Amino acid sequence: MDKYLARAEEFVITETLQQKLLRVLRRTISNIREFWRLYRKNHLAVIGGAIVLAFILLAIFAPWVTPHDPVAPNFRAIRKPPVWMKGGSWTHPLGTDHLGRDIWTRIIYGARVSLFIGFVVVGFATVIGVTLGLVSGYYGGRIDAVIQRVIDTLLAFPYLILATALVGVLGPGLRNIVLALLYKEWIYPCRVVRGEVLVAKEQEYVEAARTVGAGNRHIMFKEILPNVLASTVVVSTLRVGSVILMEASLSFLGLGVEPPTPAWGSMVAEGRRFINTEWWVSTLPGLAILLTVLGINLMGEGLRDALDPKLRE
Amino acid sequence: MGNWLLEVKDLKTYFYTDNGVAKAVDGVSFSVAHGQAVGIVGESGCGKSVTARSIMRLVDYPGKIVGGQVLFRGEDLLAKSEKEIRQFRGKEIAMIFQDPLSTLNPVLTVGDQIVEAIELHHGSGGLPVGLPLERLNPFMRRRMREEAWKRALEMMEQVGISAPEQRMAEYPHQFSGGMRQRVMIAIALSCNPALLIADEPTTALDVTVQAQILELMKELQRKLNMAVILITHDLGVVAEFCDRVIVMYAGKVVEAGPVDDILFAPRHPYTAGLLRSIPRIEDRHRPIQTIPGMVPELHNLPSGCRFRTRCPMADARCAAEDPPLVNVSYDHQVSCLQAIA
Amino acid sequence: MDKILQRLLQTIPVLIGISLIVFSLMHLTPGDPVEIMLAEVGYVSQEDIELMRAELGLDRPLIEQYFSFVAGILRGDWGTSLRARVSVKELILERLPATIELTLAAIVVSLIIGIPAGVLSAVRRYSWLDKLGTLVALVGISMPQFWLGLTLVLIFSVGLHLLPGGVRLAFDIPAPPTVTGLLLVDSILAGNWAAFWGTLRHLALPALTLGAPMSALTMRVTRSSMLEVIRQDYVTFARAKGVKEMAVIIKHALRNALIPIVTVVALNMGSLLGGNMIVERIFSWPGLGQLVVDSIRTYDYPVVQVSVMIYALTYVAMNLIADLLYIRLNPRVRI
Repeated sequence: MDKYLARAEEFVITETLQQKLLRVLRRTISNIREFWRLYRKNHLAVIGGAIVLAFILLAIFAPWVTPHDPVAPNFRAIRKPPVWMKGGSWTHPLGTDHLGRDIWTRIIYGARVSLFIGFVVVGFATVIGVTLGLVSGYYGGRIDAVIQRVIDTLLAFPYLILATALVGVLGPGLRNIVLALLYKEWIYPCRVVRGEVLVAKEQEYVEAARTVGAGNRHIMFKEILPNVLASTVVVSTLRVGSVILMEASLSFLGLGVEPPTPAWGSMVAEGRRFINTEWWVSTLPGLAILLTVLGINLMGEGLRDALDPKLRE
Repeated sequence: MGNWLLEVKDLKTYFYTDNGVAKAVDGVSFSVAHGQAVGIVGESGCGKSVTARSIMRLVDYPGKIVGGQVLFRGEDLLAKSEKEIRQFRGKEIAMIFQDPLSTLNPVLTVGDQIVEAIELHHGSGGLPVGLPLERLNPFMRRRMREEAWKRALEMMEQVGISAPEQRMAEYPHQFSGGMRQRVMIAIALSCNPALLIADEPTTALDVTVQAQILELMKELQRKLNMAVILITHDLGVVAEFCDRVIVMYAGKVVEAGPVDDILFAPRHPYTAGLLRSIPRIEDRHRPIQTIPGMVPELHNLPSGCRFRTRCPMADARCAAEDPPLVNVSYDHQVSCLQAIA
Repeated sequence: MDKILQRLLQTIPVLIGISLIVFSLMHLTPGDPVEIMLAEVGYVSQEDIELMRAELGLDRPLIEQYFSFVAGILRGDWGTSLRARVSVKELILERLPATIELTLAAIVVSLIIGIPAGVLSAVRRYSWLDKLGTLVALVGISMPQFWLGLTLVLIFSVGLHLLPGGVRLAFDIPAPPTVTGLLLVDSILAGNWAAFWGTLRHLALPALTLGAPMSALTMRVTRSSMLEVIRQDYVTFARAKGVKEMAVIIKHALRNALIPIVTVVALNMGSLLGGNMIVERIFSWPGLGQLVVDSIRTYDYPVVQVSVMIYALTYVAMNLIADLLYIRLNPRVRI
């Protein structure tokens, strides 16, 4: 009821645009401050966030971070070990591969591919999934039934197998990888949002909005959406990690971005041949995947605890 | 002193939470004689249940028993090892809980749950007590199982469940509330315990069923000559069932005495307040009086007397001094500065 | 009984959906699938293209194609591999046992690791053991499987020479006669203990790799489910009866906690099945996963379609089993 009254106040009180912006801004800042206070409590989540941020910055500023070229072979520095091993040097801190390419450089450039695909796929999937989830949960009935059957069907296909088959059919390339992953990815935000909408629909504030004559679209996007946003943010964050793993697996199977563009999965696959002697060529890019995904997952769990206590185990 | 079955001395159980230390039981002492029925009353959150669980050492994280003694037949249960205490649980001291649906295991049949209790302590059947079940040979084990099953049937009959053979194969969700509470009593009493702790045994039940269950407990208590600690917030139940009453408030005993003294001549203002809040048929035109305010938060207690924030008689002395529990007659104690002045 | 029947009926739309998606796989290709397929072979004439189109039925209307596809599947006529020129059925049945053996082993591994670890973590919650376990589990679900596989090979095969890092059985051990196709079962049937031991050793690393993410997941679910159950009154009541702590945890708590575990594990079975492709590739395992990857790369569409479908059907079947198990474990939903 309080919520309803607060909203009624918003309708009634006339304020200039400037006042309104100021009010919204102030509220946003205090929300962010409160969020940070909760998030900071979880030390692992802070570490996870730092890892992810570091990779993002490295990926963006790659050409300034490393003097080497990620693609061009350098036959004067073939199969150099990392700096901590005998024969290693700071010129190539993580060593080089069989073509003399610097592993550190390739990892940084590889982060571009992984992070790009991770964020773009999850971004699109969230938009599609949230919309369908809202519609499915809000209207119910036949639309809901159809969407749910489609989801059930897509769930039956192991993600990696479906993605592999689709990339195989669509052909390689960044765009097709994004499409192949999107094919299934949207169902995750969709399921979460639908569940939340079913709960939110029964709440008082929705009733209240309906009694003052709000339309369906207004209720869906203005009343319900803000309330399911928290869980969407949490789920989407966690999904970025999964998508990065999928992309890495695809490129490990030779169905990722086309060589010689460095991608973490294909670096591991290429380096496999030398696993007996130059183990760093394949294991270090794998470690980069692990660190990134772990960072994202730690962040996601921190977000969950800070934003949405009811999602906690 | 040797005639006490149970003596609780200065028991302290604290909960270590994020908001600070909650002293749920803070220096509670009382005694129970053989065959006696003692009621512990108070509002919810005053430490009754935690006291009961502390006696059996069943306090869960983040709670911890930090001090005191629980003497059962003169042996300190708090000093026993986890293995030793198990010999007391179920066999010497049994316990029943408020909500029988959540207390019976949903995935085990009722029969299994009774038989388990009996087998644990080899309750009857003339078999040697204390022999670990695992070491018995298969023949013995089968005989024991049959004995236990027979005893379980007996118990089901004793607590008044009809068609026990058939009902033993059923699951708890197939029983009604009252029947479930009977099953729980059957489990608790299957090993002839000397003491039964009943934690709000009738609160979750319908009024008519409440009376039946109380009647059953009374009858079994007499038959088995067993002491009972009955925890409740219902003074009506206490009047019907108990010989002695202990009134608790915010983790402390505020008054203790024979049931008639407490009900008809309460000395502590809290006890008096509880009595006034019972609706009576005689004067139904009088509005029900309640005690103003709420039980203080246990990690944020007022200074001095804990009840003073809600007490109509409180003065400056009550804020300064923590009232001791003193005898006002040989078996009636009160912890109130105003009452003993 | 009604519940089971109802559950079976529910799978029908999903089965239809699966057939639609699988069928449409070939038609999603930008361009002419036949030309792409034949381009692999090299120079082909227009006649060859027409011939192939007729063989695949691509010259008929789409609806007709779909129904003949479904009819073929149901009849057991799964088409012919374009590359190997043998029937798809033969190709798949030859590969299936290896994958089944690996997958079952991985499930066993994930349950053996995941459930006890989760129980231990819940019982000792907030201890350093719990914190470590939770972190390890998080690393487990954040780890690329191919990297784990390679690392295990690097340590146990290349480094320590403890376990073999590939194939199902060493060449110098005579394989048992094929009965079920599962080498472990076959070697027991034949009484061939050398082969049994050899198979087990070969199975160790792949099963561990495939089961690792699932173990981590099982551990997390078990932990949270146990934490929920341990709080319940019936657990305290069991203690009050004098039940030993071990029995309280296993008989009273875990039996209840298993109910949600079964569902969550089954729902996440997809990651295990998808992991087949990766693990089989790393360990040169002659299974279905490798077949899928190879046929995708060579545009062998009939093989791709059927094997992808088999994976989907396996998932559906596993979830069906899990639901039946759920009913079995939970007397409250039994009729």
